[in-house]
Amino acid sequence: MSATPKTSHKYLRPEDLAKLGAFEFAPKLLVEGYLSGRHRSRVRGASVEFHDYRQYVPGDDLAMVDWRVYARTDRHYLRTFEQETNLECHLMLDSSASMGYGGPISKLDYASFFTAALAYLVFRQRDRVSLLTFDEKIRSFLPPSGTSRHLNEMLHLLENNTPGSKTSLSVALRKAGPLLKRRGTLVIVSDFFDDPGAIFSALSIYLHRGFRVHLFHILDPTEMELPGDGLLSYVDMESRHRTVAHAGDIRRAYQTAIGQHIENLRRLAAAKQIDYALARTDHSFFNLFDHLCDHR
Amino acid sequence: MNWILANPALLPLASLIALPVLVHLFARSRPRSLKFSSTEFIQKIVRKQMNIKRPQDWLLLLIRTLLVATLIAIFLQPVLLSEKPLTAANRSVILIIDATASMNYPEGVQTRFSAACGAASRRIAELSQGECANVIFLKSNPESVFPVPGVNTSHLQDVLRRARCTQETGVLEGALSAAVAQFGKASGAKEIVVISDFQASTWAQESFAVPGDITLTRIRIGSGAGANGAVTSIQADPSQPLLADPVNLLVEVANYSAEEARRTVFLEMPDQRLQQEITVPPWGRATTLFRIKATTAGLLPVGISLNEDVFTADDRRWMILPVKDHIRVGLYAGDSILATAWSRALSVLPFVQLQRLTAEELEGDLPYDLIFLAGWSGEGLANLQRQAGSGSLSIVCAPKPETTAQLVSQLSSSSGEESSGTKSEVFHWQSLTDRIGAQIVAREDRLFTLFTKGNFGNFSSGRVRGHLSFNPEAFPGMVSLIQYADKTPALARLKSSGRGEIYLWNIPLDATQSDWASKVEFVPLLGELILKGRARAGESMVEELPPGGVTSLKIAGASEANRVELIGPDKTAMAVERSTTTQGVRLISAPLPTAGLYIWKQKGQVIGGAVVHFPEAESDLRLLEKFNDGTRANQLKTDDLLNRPHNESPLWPTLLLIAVTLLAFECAVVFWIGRKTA
Repeated sequence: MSATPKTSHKYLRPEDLAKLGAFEFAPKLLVEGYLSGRHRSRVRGASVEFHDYRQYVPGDDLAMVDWRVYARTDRHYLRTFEQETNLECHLMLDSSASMGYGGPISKLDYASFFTAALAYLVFRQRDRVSLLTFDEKIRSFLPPSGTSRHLNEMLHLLENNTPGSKTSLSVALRKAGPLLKRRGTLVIVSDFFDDPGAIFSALSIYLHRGFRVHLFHILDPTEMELPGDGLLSYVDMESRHRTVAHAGDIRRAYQTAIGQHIENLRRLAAAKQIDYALARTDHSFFNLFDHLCDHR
Repeated sequence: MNWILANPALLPLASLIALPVLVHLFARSRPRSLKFSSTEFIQKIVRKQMNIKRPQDWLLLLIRTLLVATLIAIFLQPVLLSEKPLTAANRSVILIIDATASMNYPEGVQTRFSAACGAASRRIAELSQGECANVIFLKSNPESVFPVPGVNTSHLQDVLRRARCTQETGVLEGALSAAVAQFGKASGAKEIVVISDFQASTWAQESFAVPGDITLTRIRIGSGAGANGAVTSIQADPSQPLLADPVNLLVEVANYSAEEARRTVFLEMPDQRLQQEITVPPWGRATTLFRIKATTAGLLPVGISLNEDVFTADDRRWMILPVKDHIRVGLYAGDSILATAWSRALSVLPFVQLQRLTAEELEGDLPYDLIFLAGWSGEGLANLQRQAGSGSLSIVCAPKPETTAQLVSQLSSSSGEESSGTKSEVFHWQSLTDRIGAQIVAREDRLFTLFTKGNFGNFSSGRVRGHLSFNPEAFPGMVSLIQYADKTPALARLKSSGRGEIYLWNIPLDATQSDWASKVEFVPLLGELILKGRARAGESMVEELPPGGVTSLKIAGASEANRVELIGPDKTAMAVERSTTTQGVRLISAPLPTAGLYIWKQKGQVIGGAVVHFPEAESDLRLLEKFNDGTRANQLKTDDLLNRPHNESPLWPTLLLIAVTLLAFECAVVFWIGRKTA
């Protein structure tokens, strides 16, 4: 397995690879893995790091019995250790029509750059990574793998990905549940034009299963300000619905509304101990890796 | 309280009132499109703002519309007319301006009507403050500018500038009554000024009767008798010709001048154009004859015109000639043998449309050109008498034996007129011992033109064994056409009105009594009797109207009525009002303003028409020398009258104030909305 993918991919440029050398992505929580590795796992096993005692049940390895405790208490207890295993990272990329918005770089392009870089980072650490693109349904899914071939497939998928139809993150999350068999880190890159309540309700299932969730909220700067001047007919890129409004009249109210929406997402994420980051497409996506490193 | 517009010429400006609404709609309907990732937040905001914004928009739209309306009104200059009676200090003048056809006569650089309007305008200009005025145009239905005399003299002058003369005749009495009624109970000085050419032919009998408190002034326009020629009548004989029938058109031309006039008369038909020279004596009339032949059945427009003179309006006249392709003949069979013989003979004539009639049908409407009464003994007498009297029906009557001569005689007399025949005179059947023949006794009669050369047989070869015997003196004016050897009339004309004729048939057609029915001359005789003796006047599908008249047409189906249009003399479709009745749709035209031919057309086919004739009385342009009250017509000079008051109370200052207020209000609303948005 080569550690370096071919660098002719649109979303993984040589200069980006150079910059990614300085980053390391590791989960904060314990993960499940099939290789003993550098990440902590809830699977107990052979390791040097003591975790806890538990009562012996028939079938347990007798070698694990702590005989000194038995001598003191006349009961059989087993010593458990935390096992280090490899990371399984699931990347969910919003590919709805609204992600096609923005310039000079669209939100989907921006998100694809970030996703590609993140996938590479995970791959470089010899961890497994999956990619799922969605709009109101699951559009494509590459199951977790850690091979360079898999990384190339992933990058190829990103290159061929185009904005689809409406966004429904909550529906996509519900449909993705059965696909993500092993818990790990779930990274969602989206513009989150959906009901925050529904999104976090759908995320609860993943949290319950022990996933570590990162939300990256991608917005074009004009989406935070409201573009245009004078009387305009705003055409919704997802529903094609036209709304006539005077930009000057509604700009302030719009900024307030989008600010409230971001704040709602941030608040609900904090309440559920989910990592949330707002990403403006006019800022470098490497800032998001700084954010990830801060929240390890 | 009434109001009028002083500047109605700018009335089209009123359409600008839609401008704010259009701007409002246009601005709303065509904003620039902008693609946006999600308009969910925008929609929420717009929905929230709409509740506040909409009333603001409507308020602004209302203010701006009112502002534009007020500005338009300022330009239109509305004037409020008070219905308060005039005070003693006020004077009021009503000018009656003759707008009849003769006023179209040009004298010098302008027509008499233009000169009359000029005189009226000068008279109005001289009115001083406090005086009111009004103008009534004298025509068939006098037309008043204001409902009551008003102070808006500038509007009156504007109306006078734009006024057009008509081709109608005038009713002075109606105009004077309207003027007197308009003065109402006003106590101020009242004056009626009549401005006209005082044409001798129409004004000689006018009495100018007005109440004692009203001053009547007459201003004459026109300086003398204008030489004029006119087509005064067109007569067609027969009036409803058969297809390919020769038709005589008698055209009467009048000369209204002191010199003999040599005129060229032109006849125009769709496929013919003829002309004839005619010399008309001074102040006299002459008639010329055109012989035409209709080549197609239907309504045939015919125009007659003269070479133009100074007064052109009466140089043309029109008629619509209904050309038939068959003759409608009715047959009453009181004597079946005679009726059968007639019926058999008539059936071989291709131009005859035969219909058998019962005694009851003789009492009803008889849309026939000629009726054969076989064995008649007085059935439907009153109806036959009436229709024959009107000239719309000819009758060939073969009385039943023992029928009184008085009954037959009544056919030829007018309704209600006593017949000269006595009740004792009856038609007796007379059997003869020897068969006798008959001979034409009126060889020059048009009925026998065909037989004069002997090509269609010899009447003397027919023999009869009997005939009806009667006293010829019972029918004064009777013309015996064919006579038996015993001097008894076999065929006689009882009445010849030139339109509907009555014939007495005394030729038995029973084979046992006569061999006439088998003779070769029998069918041609019947044919000639129908062609020459049929009614010359029938139910006309063409109305003849004076200018200003209204024509109408009944159409059975609504869908058919939608395809009917009235084409005016200038070949353009005219406005038609449609009203639905139980019998179908009635199409009514607007008043037909000028002389000419107005044709009802359905899918290009002529289905009716109206001819508007120039009123003959208006062609004689001689002026009245004296009124019937002894006043000389030219006694009054226009200069004597131009010395009166003037006043105006226009509304434009008030409207300007309203406009400024609205503008200020609009600014305030815009400012308020701006602040609220901010």
